Amino acid sequence: MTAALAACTGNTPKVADVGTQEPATRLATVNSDRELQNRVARASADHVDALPVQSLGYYLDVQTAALQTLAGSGLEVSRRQDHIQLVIPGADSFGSDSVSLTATAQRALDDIAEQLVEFNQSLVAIAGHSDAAGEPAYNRRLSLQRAIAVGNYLAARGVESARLVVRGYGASQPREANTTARGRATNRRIEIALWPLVIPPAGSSAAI
Amino acid sequence: MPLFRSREFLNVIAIDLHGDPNRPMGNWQFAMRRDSALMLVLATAMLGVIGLFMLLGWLLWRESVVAEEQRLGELAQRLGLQAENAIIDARELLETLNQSQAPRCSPKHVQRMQEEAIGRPWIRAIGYWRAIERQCGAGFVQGTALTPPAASRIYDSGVVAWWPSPETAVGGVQLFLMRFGDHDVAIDPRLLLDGNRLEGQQAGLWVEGLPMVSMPPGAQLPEPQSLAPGLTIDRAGGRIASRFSLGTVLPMDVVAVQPSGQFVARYLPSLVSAALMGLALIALWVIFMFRLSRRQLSLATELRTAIDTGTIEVVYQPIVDLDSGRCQGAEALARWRRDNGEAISPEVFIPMAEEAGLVTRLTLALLRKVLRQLGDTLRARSDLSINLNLSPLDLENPDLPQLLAATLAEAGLPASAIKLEITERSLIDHEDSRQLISELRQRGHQVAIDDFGTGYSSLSYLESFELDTLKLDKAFVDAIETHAVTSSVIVHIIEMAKSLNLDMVAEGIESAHQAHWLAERGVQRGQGYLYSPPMDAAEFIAFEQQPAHRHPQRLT
Repeated sequence: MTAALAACTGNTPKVADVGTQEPATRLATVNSDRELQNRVARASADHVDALPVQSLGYYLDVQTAALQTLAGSGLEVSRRQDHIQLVIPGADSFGSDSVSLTATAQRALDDIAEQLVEFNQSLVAIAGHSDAAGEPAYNRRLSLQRAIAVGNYLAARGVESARLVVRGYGASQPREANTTARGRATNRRIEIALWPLVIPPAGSSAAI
Repeated sequence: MPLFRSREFLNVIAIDLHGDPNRPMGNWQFAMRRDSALMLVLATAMLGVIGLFMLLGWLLWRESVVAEEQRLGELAQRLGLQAENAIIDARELLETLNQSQAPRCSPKHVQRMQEEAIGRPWIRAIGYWRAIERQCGAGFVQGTALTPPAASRIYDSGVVAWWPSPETAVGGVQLFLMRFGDHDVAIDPRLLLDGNRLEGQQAGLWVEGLPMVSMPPGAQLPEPQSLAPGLTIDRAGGRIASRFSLGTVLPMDVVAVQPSGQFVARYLPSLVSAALMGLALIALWVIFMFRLSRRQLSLATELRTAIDTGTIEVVYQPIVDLDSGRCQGAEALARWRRDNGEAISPEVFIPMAEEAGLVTRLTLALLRKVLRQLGDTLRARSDLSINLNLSPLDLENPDLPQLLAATLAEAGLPASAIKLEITERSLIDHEDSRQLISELRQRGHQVAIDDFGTGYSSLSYLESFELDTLKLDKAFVDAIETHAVTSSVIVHIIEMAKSLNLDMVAEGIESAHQAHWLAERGVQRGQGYLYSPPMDAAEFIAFEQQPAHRHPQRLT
């Protein structure tokens, strides 16, 4: 499974074993923003119970507030114009150079999963980021696999895997300078974007 | 103050009267002067009244503004606290509901929500939600769940609040919504403001800078940020706006607006009653002043009449030679008893005469009376003389010597029969008096200085006047009894009088001891209760005929 994923991204893993849990179904991967938005549009059209457009603001507001109450674990919640952005610090979430979730991370994800199950009219885009230490290709792969680990965990906690997409950025989107240890720790993170699935206007066809 | 003013205008009259005292002013001219003087008094009084009234009005206005500010401040406090309590209570309610163990949307859960809603009249609905679906609840919105597109506030605590807006309106009522966790409440903000307390004003409540509610709904109220705290008077708009800020948990502003007329109406009764009271007081005062002035004026007129008709009486206090005990003369004193029997003290009518310019007229009238009453006595004894007091104003009249001479000539008596007493003060007041005194002495009058020691003149100054006699004031004579005589001032005065070659008359001798003491030191004459109090002409004539008066006669 891992090898297949690696083949998709076009790289052979140099690390011997990046163990992951075997997911029940394969999680969708995206590599660009456009791909992501296409998936959002398609999911909106396909979703049985998409959001009426007049409830979009309310949905985002209330969900933001609910997620904020989970902010004890260092979770950052920010409500953007049309989606919600979560940032999970990576330092306490994974062991060094591992893709196994720590207990802390699991507890946080349990709470998040609960919210995602309730607010199930969103596409959950999980993005893995790494610091700049090491090979870029390696970092990309590691970050992707960490994203997958999070996604699988959420799926196991009840979030529909059809709503989950994963993406590995590697070190390409640092939040802070990688020159300091603290900066590097900040850059090692998981970002989850929650994109609401809104009923498309009548007459338009789903984008492919 | 009013007394002062009456003197001022009486001086106006005095200038005219003083010009020619021999030509009596016609009664009608005098009356006209009096009336215009009264008008002046009245005008001044009115100005004072208006000034006072304006001050009073301003003070009352300020008081009213302060009182209104206070009233509105209390109102704002009340309204703000009401609103704050309701909001805090709603938040706590939501928390409690979230923590409830009852299965969601079970009858027990729903009943719980109903009870909480009914117990709070401002809560119109409580709901239980999953994501954007209202599952169940209590209140009016069964079937219509409100999902406004933009929250007004998302608090860190997880509370989401929607301020009243068209998106939160149900049946025309814009609701205030609060959601926390799975539950939400819909609050009717109109019930956050107690409309009963507004009393015709328009008021609005802002919470966290956003408008929450206004009474009446849709009232056009200025934003709190555009108003200064406290009361603002909008003259152009004809209204009064007030703004008060408060809030311990949530920042709140209350703005209240009322038409100016209402504010005035509220305070008008107190303003009017205070004004009426003020007016009444002022009217009373004006009436009082009026009557006082009239009385002053009428008294002055009466005095003038009394002088002209010779109603002013003269009494005589004998002056006795201290060695021989023989009466050498008397000091003539004026007395005035009005027609109604009231006696007016010389301390009152002499200054009145001075201000009315009647002094010389009075002096001459007194002189005429003295000469008529004691003419024979004076002719019989050429060494007898009567002392007549002159006022400083007399000394300012250059015609005085001539007038005195004419009066004496009419009676056929020499100038030596009348001695003139002048006060030390009159020497100082007018330099021209020096020449007048000289002229009087040339005509044959002797001049005595009275009240010596009460002015500021020095020895050399005194020397420069031609004087004959020095009268020792009663105060110095009294000191003979009470103080150590060696250190008393009187000794020095006596020495000084001697050095100036002035003979002396001691006033106010009341004991034989004083008389003896004075005689020993060379004081020639004296007067006082020891010898006799002032008496009328007949009594004086009898007194004068007795050979010697060494011992006390009688004391009454």
